[in-house]
Amino acid sequence: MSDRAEQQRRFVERWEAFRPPTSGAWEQKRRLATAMRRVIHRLVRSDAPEEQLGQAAERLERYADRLATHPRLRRAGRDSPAPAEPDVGTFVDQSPLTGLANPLAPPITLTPEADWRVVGRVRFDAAFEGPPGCVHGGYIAAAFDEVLGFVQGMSGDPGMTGTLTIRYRKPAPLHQPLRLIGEIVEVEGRKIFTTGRLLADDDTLYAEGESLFITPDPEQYERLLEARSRREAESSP
Amino acid sequence: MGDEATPTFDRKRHWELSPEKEAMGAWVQKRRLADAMRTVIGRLVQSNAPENELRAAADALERYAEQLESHERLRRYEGFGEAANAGDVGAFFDQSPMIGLANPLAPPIRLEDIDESSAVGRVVFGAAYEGPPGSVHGGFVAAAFDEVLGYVQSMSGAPGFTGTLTIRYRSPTPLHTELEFRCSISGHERRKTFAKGRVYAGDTLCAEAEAIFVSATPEKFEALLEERRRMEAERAS
Repeated sequence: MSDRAEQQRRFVERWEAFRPPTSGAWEQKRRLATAMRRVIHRLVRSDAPEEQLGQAAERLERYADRLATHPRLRRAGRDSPAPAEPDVGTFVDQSPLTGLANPLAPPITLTPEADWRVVGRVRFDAAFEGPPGCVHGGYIAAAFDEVLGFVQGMSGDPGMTGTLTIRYRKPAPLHQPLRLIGEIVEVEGRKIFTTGRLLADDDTLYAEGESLFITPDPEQYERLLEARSRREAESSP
Repeated sequence: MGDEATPTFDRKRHWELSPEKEAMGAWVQKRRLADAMRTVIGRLVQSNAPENELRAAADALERYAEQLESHERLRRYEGFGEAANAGDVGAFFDQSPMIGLANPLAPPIRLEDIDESSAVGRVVFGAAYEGPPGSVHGGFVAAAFDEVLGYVQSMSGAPGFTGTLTIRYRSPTPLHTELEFRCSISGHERRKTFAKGRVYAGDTLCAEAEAIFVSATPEKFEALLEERRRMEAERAS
C-alpha cells in the first residue's frame, strides 16, 4: 500500500472512531436536531398565527432553561478519546455543516473515496435561501470550507484554513441534491492545497473553490484546547 | 447608526429593509421563537442532557413541525414590495440565514455604521458555530463576509451576485466574543463591484476578505423569481 493510501486509511479509520453511538442520548439528540431542522425550515415559509408562534416560543424558552441545568459535555481532543468514551460524538456530530446533532447543519454527508478525494452530498432547505430560490452564497462558501477541510485531513497532518477562494458560476438551487467534490492537489511541507467543485446531479457546475490549509504546530492546537477549557470552566452552558 | 443627516436613497432603502426595524404581530413571535431556538441550539451542542428528556423534546418538536406544515406558505419574495409599505418587516431581511432575526440559523449579524460605501457587521457566534476548539468555523467566517460585503455592494446602486470570494485567515476567530466585520467598496469596473473587508475581535485581526460582485440585470432576477414560483407550485402539489 502506498504512503498516501495508508495515510488516508488511517485518517478515515480515526474519523469513523469519532462517530457517536447510534443509540441512547446521541440518537435522541440527532432526532431532536432533525425535528428542529424541520421547524426552522417550515418556520421561514409559514404563515402561522401569532398566538401559536407565541406558545411555541414560550415552550422552547422553558426547554432552553432546562437544558442549561445539565452538565457540559466533555469534549473530544484531537488524539483522544477512545471510541468507547460516551462524549465522542462531539467531534463529528456537532459540526455546524455535517453534524447530525447540530440543527444548524443542512447536514452534508461526507463519503471518503480513494486517492485523497471526498464527496459531500447535500440538499439545502428553505432557510438557506439567498437569491430567490437559491442557496445563500455564504453557505456555499461554508460548505466548501467543510468539505475541503475534511479532505485535507487525509494527507495525515490536518491543518487549519489559510486561504479559501470560491468562484460562483451559477446560482445553486434550493431543495435539489447537490454534490461537492473535494480533492487534495498537492502537499508541500506544512501546506496542503485543495480544490473542490459544487455540482448538480447532471454535472452542472455551480461553483468552484480552492483552499490552502496550513498544519499548525501541535502547541498552537494545544493552546486553543486549553483556552477553550479555561473559558468553559468560567461559564455555565 | 451614522448621523441623522437627510436620508439618501440608500439610507431609505436600508431603513425599509432593515432587520432593526420594529416587527409587528406574528413577526414579533416569529423572532421570539427563532431566538428561543438559537438558545436551544447553542445549549444543545454543549449539553449532556439525559436521553429521556431529549426524547420528549424531540417528540414535542416533531408535533410542532407537523402543525407548522399545515399553515399556508408565505410568498416571501412576491410579498416583499408590499411588505415594506405595510410595515411588515418579514419578507426579506428578517429571513436571511445570516442577519435574519426570524431565522434560527442566523447568529444573527447586526449591520451598523452604514454609509454609501461601507458598513460594519457586528456578531457574536455561539457554541453551535464551533470549528477549531473555541473558535468560529472558518466556513461561517466566510459566510459572514459574504453577507456583509454583499450588503455593502447592494447599497452601492448596482446590486449583484457574488462572483468571487477570497478569505485569508490570520488568526483563529473566537466564539462568544463580539466580532466586527468592517467592509467597504473598493472600486467599480463595468458590471463588477470590488469590495473588501476585515474581521476583528477587539484589536486582533482574525481574517481578511476580498470579493467581486457582478451586477445582475432585472431580467436575471425576474427569471430566478419565475423559477422559484414554478418550483414552489411543484412542491405544493
